[in-house]
Amino acid sequence: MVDHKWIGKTYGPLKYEVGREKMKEYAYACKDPRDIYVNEEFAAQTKYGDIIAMPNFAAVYGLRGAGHMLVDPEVKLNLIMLVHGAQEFEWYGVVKPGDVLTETGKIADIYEKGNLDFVIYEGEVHNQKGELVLKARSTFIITGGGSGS
Amino acid sequence: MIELRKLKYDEVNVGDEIPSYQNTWDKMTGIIYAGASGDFNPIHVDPDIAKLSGQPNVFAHGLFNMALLGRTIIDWIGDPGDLKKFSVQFRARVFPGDTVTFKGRVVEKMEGNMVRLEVWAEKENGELCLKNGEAVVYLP
Repeated sequence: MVDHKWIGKTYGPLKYEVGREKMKEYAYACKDPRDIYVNEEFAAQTKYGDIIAMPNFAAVYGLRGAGHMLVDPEVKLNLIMLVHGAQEFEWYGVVKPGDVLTETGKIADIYEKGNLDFVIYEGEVHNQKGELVLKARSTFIITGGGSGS
Repeated sequence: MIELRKLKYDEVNVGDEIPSYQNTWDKMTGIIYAGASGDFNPIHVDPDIAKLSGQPNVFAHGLFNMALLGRTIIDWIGDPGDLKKFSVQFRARVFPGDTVTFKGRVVEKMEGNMVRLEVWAEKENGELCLKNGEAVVYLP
């Protein structure tokens, strides 16, 4: 069982500067190099004016706090038995090259269901203008006892 | 000005299926995704480690599968900025050689030109690798 006292523990702020080539690399890796993600000449003729990140690039800039939680020596999650059970993203704006994003997050909940432990991580990402860009909610499931200690 | 949007709110009906997308996964895809995402969990790239963890082989990152399902939705609506909310549960693993079909269906037309979809991904044997997915998109 994961100690419930960690509910509310915060992570961040974590800064992420969005790189043009990294955005493209992610789109190619996801087999989706469409023009609005990789072609500046095309993108300049759209309302965005420049390429935008694939929405699921949130996996790169928006889940680092969750990554810190997974290896947090205080919380001691049993990684061998842990799976990423579910993911929710909510977007409030697009991400462009050069954006400086700041992620903050917390352990939103810890609970048990049968033999499974659930750890819920919630994060938010704002850009350099202070605008909310993303809310992310990750569900991690640990089978057979959640603590690695 | 190039218009990215392809679909109008009035053209969509509850029950409509969106065009599906299909992909066959291989080990190299997993290695490339690991590099692009920064997620180097060895169960996705090293068959020896995957076997130690009780799996028959390496398997796709869940977030890679989610990105392909997201792409299926964006192919339908046109403008990536119109995808507002997207959630999935990660279930069956996708192993090398597995072909996955990504699907969706309109379940609700909401206020403010928002449309809610159920979305999922299934393997050839019928197992769902992404289950109980939901997406909300804006349509003009």
